[in-house]
Amino acid sequence: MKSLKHFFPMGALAFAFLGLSLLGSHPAAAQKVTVVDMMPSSLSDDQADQSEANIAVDPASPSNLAASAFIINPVKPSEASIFLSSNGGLSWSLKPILPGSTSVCPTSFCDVTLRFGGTSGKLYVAALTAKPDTQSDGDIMVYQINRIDDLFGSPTPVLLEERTGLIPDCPDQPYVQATTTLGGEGTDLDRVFVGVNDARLARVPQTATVDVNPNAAATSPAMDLEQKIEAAMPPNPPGRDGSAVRTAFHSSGVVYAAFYSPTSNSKTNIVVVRDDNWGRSMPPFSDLGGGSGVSVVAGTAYSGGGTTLAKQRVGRSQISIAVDPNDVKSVWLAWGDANGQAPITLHLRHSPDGGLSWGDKDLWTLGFATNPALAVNSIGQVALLYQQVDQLGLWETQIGISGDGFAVPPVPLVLSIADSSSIAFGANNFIGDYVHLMADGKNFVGAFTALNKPVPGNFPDVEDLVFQRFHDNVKIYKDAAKTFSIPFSIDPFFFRVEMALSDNDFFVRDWTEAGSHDPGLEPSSHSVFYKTSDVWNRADNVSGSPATTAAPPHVDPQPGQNFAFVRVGRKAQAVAGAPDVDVLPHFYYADFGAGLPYKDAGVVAPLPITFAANQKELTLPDGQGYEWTLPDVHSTHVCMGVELDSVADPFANPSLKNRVPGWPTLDTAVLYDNNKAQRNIIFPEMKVMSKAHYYALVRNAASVTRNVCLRLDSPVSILSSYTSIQIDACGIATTSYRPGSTVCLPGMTAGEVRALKVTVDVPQSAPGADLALAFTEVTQPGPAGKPRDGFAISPVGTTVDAAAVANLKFQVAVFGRLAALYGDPAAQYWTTKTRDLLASGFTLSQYVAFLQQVRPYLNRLTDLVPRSTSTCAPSPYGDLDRLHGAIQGADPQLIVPSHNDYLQTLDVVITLSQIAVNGPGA
Amino acid sequence: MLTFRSVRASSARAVLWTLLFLLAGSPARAADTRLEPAIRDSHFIFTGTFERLGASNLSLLPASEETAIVRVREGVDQPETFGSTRDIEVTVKLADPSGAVEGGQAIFFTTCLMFGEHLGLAEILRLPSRTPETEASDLEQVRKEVERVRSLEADEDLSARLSSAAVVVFGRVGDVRKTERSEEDFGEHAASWALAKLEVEGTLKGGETNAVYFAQDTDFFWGSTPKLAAGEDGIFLLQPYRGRDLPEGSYVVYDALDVEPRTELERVRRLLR
Repeated sequence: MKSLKHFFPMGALAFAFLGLSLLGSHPAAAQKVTVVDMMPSSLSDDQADQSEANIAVDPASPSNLAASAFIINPVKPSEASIFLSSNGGLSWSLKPILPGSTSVCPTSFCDVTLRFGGTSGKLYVAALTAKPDTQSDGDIMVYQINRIDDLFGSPTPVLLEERTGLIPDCPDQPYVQATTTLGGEGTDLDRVFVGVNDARLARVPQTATVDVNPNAAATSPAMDLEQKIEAAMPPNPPGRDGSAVRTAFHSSGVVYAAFYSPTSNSKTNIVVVRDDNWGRSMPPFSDLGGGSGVSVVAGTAYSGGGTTLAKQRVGRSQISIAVDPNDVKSVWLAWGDANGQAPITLHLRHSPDGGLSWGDKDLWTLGFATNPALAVNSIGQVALLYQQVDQLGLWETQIGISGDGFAVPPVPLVLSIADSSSIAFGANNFIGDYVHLMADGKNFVGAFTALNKPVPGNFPDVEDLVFQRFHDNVKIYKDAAKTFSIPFSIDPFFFRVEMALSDNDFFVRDWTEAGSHDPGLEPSSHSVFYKTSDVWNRADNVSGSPATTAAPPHVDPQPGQNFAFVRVGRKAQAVAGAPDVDVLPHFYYADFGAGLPYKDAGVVAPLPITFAANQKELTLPDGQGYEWTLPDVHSTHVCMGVELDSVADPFANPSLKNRVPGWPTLDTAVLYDNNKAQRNIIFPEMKVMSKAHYYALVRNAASVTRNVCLRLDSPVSILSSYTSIQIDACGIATTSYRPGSTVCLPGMTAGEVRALKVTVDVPQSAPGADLALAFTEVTQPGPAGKPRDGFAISPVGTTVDAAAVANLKFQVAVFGRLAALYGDPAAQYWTTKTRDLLASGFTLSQYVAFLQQVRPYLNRLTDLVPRSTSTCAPSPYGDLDRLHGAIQGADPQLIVPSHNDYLQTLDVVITLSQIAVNGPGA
Repeated sequence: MLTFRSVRASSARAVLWTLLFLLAGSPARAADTRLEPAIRDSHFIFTGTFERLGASNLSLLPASEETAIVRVREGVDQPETFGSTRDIEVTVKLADPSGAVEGGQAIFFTTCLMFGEHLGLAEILRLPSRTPETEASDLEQVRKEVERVRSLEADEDLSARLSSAAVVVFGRVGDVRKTERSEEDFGEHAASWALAKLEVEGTLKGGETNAVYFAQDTDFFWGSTPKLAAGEDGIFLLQPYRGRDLPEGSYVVYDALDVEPRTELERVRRLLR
């Protein structure tokens, strides 16, 4: 779709750039570009210039967006307005939202940036307004950060911060970033970071500042922490740092900031600092370079005040920083300086080590370009948005996207071209001091300002071009009848670069229930996303052919050979004649519970699932299930995972392999990536009307001590089948299962694994009835807790005979583990004898007689497992004693549940002993 | 058509509904000073017809009992940006839905809620049409009142600038000289000041002075401030300034109203009295 562009910068750089263009790779799988002029049709007669667009996507509801620009609300000039979209940016409305300027800065807002919290849905707006100075005719600059609650309902502003200064000694260019903490200390709190050049007289010359609000969503939020981030001053600096102070955060709590630290009016250092604790370290932003940060370049030529590029002022605001969401140490930096023949040249560098080193060469150099904006998407692709003037005097807004770390400079996509001689390009800041780019999952979205000439040729790489103004693809009009044309002006534009189109978007359902299922949403809308997903196991190479709306027929894995299956959905059919697409499923398994790492199910490469153009759903067919082996040493209580990979829709890194779904390393891996799914459910068969227990393991995957909380998510309709469900674990009192309540395992140290015991009165129920007891790991107790991981135990009530069979099967697995782990001949012997009995068939009296033969060895077998020194570890000896007693009593009705309990406890004790030695996932 | 003027806050809706009640029963709508707050708060005054009650034509303003789609018959007072509003359909969030009937006509006093696919307006006051015979005269009365209030607002705005000005003179701009500006020291929002010499013909307020600064910048921040050119004739409202980017005791023209055409001389004299 994309062609090599006509991008030949002026002067001596032209040949160098031509060379790069010829060598350049195509953008990393860019599939579709949409550009929307945000000016609504009801403002079609607006002929003012709007510049400096900014944009925010609500991560919790990506179809909701907000955007800003220097725009005068023609009806309420004293009220600052923002743009809103509820359909993913395809259409926009302008709405007054806050009190605005009452003096200069006639656009009500100046220097507006905005961002949503990660999951709170709250919008954070940082902006400048101006008001008259009561003591003279000067103006007071008012810097504010406001939180907007209920943005799409009845917007309510909450002031987070306000500082003022008499112009020109005032805070400048606040640039906001925001997120919601996913786990650990401060879970679910909104964190807000605002880079601001706080040039009040008391602050000069060290004006680079990051305002930090660690709990911005609080009902009555505290004011920001004003973190001065310039620790080391160059000698004889001018009066202030550069205007732009930009931040980038990682979900682990690391925050980077970048700024210009001028050494004179013509030279500047480009400085990066880092804070490893959400901007709250003491001293703040001192975790890099011995406390003072790192100069990426030192003493580079400064495009100082008065510098223009084709009449647009440039030089002090052109800096952008981004961090890879999957790798906290992978940081990208772009900045502009006068270190070239152009008035301003953009440079792109990368640090692989948390900002310590940046190399000595640019990965990409762009002359005659300004307004850089960087973002890294969920699969590690890096995009740089910028605005550049070519030798023909055309302003071009371009985006370069790389999937190889800019090893080869990409051929940029051209989002907009405009003749800079247009009358609209008259003021000295007609396109503004910055644009904005951000990742929305795999896609990139952003905002820029450009000429509103609606000629499709001016948007050459744009597939879907939307002008809300009245227009005829040539002119714009003030009226719907297109009778009166008006001059072109500068408008704010939204854009989206889709990296995966619907026909290339393959997914695994996170849940399938009778009549409904997950359509591939990111994130999944179902809190219990680990119970009925479309990855499953079979004992033989037959999928079970689930109906489209039926949950797959899973069978718990057994030691030895198993077969993994997956059903793959596709969001949309491809056009007729489109080539087939191969999708590769990778299967994984983990110890049963939450917070435990996944292991590769096999080293043999999976067979691809090949989609023809007209196919939207395929299941691995019979005979092509992925054959995998559950090691003899492993418990049969396992979770399964799958991730899909295709050329145009790779899974988001990092892979599930050897990693933990849940905070902090894969916090969004399964919920937020529709290429991934997990099945964390076991179906133990138990005698009905007996009391029996089961275990799951809960691991604190974080690097800090914390309470790990499990929400009890099964509904009353399921629980009403039970007469009793009790939960036990170290650190908590015995607790009944109550739907919606939360059980928190207190004070779990980093990496600690704790057993959770669930004891039930096995109910009488119809075959196939859903009795699953769901436990969802959540970020905090209560309804506000966000799901991260989970598991479910679904007892299958059986006759005493069937339960005896299930016990012996489980005994084969458990004794087999002992034999494999400890080489004990008795364990091997009784494993074989148990298997033989199962093969020959037996009566209940034979079952009792068999256990009476085993009984003298039970203590020896139990003693094989090293006794844990932890006071939290369960002991098998209580269950062993009860089993001894039951066997002596010879009543199969009592033996069967005791036998289950003993084996369940022994199995989990073996697993814990393995983890104690080898760590989880070994 | 009248043009839009500055926004003024008011909370007179309840009173105005009382006014509405009183006016509806009178044989002729006499000009009433209580209309003034409604006009001050309104940004779009028009005659219109209720097309659909409980409806909305805006995707981000859900329909409710309080919303109605109204067809604009004629704009009385509106921002220039609206262009032709005749026959367009707007969504109005009604101050009080009672009394609204589909097909009913009224003069609407509104302010803006949202610009979307269509205009979204918030009703401040509604004067229902009484009879076809009185409609034209009612409208004419409103027009006159709007004109009077807007003129009054303009005088208030100019009076405020005259009041804050230390010196008011009329005459001609002489030499204009740019001043040095260090963005490194003053930042990107500092003005690029120029000093204009004034050939003063008369002083209306304050002492003697013959120089004033103005911001040359054409960016969004300073774009609306006066730009002086050599030879320009007018009335100059010189305002004191205390920012450290100008010498102490400097004067500036800062607001669009700080430079008035000489044709406004009598008005300025009147407002200074």
